[in-house]
Amino acid sequence: MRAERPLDARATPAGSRRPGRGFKPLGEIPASLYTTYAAAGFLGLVAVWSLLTSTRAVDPLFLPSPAEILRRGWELFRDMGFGADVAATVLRVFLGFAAASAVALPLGILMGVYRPIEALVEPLVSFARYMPASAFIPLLILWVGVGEAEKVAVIFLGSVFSLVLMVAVHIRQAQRELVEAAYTLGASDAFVVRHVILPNAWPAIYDTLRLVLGWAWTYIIVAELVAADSGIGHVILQSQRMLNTGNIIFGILVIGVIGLVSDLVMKAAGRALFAWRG
Amino acid sequence: MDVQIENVAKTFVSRRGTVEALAPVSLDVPAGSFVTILGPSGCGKSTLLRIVAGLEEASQGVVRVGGREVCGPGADRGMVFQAYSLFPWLTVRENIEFGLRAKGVPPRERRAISDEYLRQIGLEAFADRYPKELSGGMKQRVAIARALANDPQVLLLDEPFGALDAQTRAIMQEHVLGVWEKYHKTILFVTHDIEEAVFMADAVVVMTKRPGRIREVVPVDLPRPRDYHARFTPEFTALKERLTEIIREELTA
Repeated sequence: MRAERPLDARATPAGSRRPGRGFKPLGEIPASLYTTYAAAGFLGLVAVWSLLTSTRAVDPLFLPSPAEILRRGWELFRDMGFGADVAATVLRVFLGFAAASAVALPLGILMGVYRPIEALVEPLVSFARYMPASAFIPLLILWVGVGEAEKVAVIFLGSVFSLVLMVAVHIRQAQRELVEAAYTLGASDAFVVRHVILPNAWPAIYDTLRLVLGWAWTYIIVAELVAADSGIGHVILQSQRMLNTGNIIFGILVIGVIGLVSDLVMKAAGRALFAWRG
Repeated sequence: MDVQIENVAKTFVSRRGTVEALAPVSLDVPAGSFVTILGPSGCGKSTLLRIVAGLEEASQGVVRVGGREVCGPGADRGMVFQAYSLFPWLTVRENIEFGLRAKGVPPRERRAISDEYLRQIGLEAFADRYPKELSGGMKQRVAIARALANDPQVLLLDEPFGALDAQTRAIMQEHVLGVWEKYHKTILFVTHDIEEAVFMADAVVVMTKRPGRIREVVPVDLPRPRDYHARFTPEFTALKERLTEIIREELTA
């Protein structure tokens, strides 16, 4: 081994084999190493957590061990019908988010393309954006009751305003040169909107949808904490009343896993959809 | 088609004041001729080209193309930009077909035309690639093909090779000359490169510092067709020297 070292060092480009590789500012690391680090992060968390609980450094009433959490989770699914709660929550997030997108996409696009529409809508939306969606929950309960419509409405209110503004910004970021090139090729205004401004903005809009979908998850839990008879938030609140910390933590973890998986799926889909991106 | 520029001037008005970019300029470009516009940076030569393209409105004066007054961009005047400005979400072929699609040309006909121009620029093998996979020279060839596929009467090129290395630039210059000889377009070509201006042109229009005016129109009588050998002739050197003197005078005046 020792004899091979100098040879090895000569064969690789300077710097790449030094200890602490990848720690050059803005440096790159191989994908396999990236995965290793990512796994190490999760494992490290579980290790610290196990250490804290197995040494009884914290009261298991407040923080059960990872194994206990998994056991609780299994029981939740097996005995308490947790699967239906997860499905209910996912459906609410999906419906609220779909409704918000259905309003925000056309409105944001129109705002971005046409200045007069921006002038008409932008100040209103900017104003509405700062009103916290959770503050509307009491009002929504009065208006539409404590059923599904209220949950979906919270998601809708929580995401729609930001979405409109961000879509408009992405539309506005159309490169002037591309628009000009299209005009010199004889394109009409409508053709420029449809074939230059929109395709140019889709990737950024898609990334925004991904981001806002993450926010939608935070709103749904708030909505389910207040008035619900199903859903992950409902289970978390019930568990709190019974000091069932294991269930609370498992519920939170499930949300994290769903979020991570949906984000990975959307990322992969985005890469496939926008293969032309540099 | 010929291009007539009549007393065209441009003043930019901003909050910080007004900038006179272009003093009144008049120029007649006969149909089918190759004219280069040469001048120091910021002399308004790109502004003049953009006014001909219809991308910028003149503060005064008119531009006529084939006798018709210009009042906005149109398919009769193709433009090639320095930054290539290919549509990154379209393949090479789709980029070339963009203008045809805007015009509503049916797909089969579009394909025949894009085939022709792909062959012309030697990028048949790259028809289905995205611009990100092309080198600078290849991108600019696609941009030229995209403009030509529309069959414009006039081709406007705004420092098209400014971002290319010297060797690629020389090859692209011959490429554009080949295109011009084959398709007989009227070409207005903006550059700040003296050698490029001489090599390409029937006439070099030299502009002054801002506000840009036409200082002199220098005819170039080098024989055609031209290739790189033309650069090594005494006539070429003499023209280059003369233009260098004019530009130096302009910069130090």
